[in-house]
Amino acid sequence: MIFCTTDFTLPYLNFAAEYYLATRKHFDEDVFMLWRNEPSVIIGRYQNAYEEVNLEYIKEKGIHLARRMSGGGTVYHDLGCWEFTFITEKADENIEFERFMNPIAEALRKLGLDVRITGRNDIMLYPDGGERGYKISGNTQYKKGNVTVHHGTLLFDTDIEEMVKSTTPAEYKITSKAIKSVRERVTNIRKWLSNDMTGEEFARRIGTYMTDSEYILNEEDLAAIHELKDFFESRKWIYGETPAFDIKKTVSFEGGTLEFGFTVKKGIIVSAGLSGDFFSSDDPDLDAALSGVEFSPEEVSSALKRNCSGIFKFDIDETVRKIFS
Amino acid sequence: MEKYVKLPEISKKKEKAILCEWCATPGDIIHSGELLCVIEVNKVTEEIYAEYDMEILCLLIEEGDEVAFGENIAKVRNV
Repeated sequence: MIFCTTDFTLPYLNFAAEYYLATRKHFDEDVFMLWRNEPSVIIGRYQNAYEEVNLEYIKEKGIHLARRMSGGGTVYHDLGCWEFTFITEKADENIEFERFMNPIAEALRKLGLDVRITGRNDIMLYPDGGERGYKISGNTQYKKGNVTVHHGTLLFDTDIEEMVKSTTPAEYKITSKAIKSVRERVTNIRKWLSNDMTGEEFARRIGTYMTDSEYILNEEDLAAIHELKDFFESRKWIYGETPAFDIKKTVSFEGGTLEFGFTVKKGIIVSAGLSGDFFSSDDPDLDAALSGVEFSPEEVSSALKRNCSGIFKFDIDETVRKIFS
Repeated sequence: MEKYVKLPEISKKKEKAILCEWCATPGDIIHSGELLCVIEVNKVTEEIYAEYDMEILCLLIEEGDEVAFGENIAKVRNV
């Protein structure tokens, strides 16, 4: 198996690197990658960030939001969490996880850890050989033609408090058919090692166990990866690929309440409605004001100022801030 | 001739998939090897390709709905 590492810590670059190696390079052997991200929340391919993420919190903290190509739920990455990737052209036509998870579990057992693979394709750690297990690795895949990309997390020394805060969404009422996350009890691997080690040493041991040769990305590879990064970083990918959803948000002010309702498809408002104590003069036709507008604080605020200025008795920027918080 | 496209069986486990995204709409002509839809099953996203040239007549499953392997997902006509 070929080991390919990158120094990237931006999720958009790491996902670009995976995608590039999977779809634009051919190797005679499977490829194994180990990588990390700066604090980031990663949603699954068919998830809704508004249902899974505290968007206001992550914006304040400078935590990245990214959408991956594979399915499953939302995860939090930081430099204490390692991600691994297998890229293979030789996978079974049927879905298989054990082929990729077994060697990872074995590598962890060599570090003295009691780990088991669950039916949900997670790796659980059982400290002190007890019955109570904690999730240390979630796994997921995507396929492009005959190539399978299997990736997973390894919670080595992650800020779990930050993970919880980032993935506790604001209080919206959302109706959607987007894939929902399944939350589990988690722990960090480092806490349970009998001999402490750094994250870098941990990665070196996993990489050495898994692989016997190395591929180093060249200038051409890096240029292509940077080009692909734009796609993974784009609003069109992160928000525009959200499955259609209906969202209601009640916003309270000293003088009254407003309830906003939106139907959003591909990140664009297709219909909007409003009820509440908004009158200053005429009724605002929210549908006319916002249909076709991108569902984002900036675009909604601009559209309301253009079309409804003087109608709301509340400040538009403050109103929009409350809608999206 | 009208016929049905079935969801191919890509998992040996007794589990259902979610039809996440249609990549064609009624009236489209899809050629063999072109992308028809994307499903998600047990955290895996998988692309489903047309096995022959076809005109899409009717999509039988809505995006976001569950679908069983072997279930009819679209009504099509050979072209």
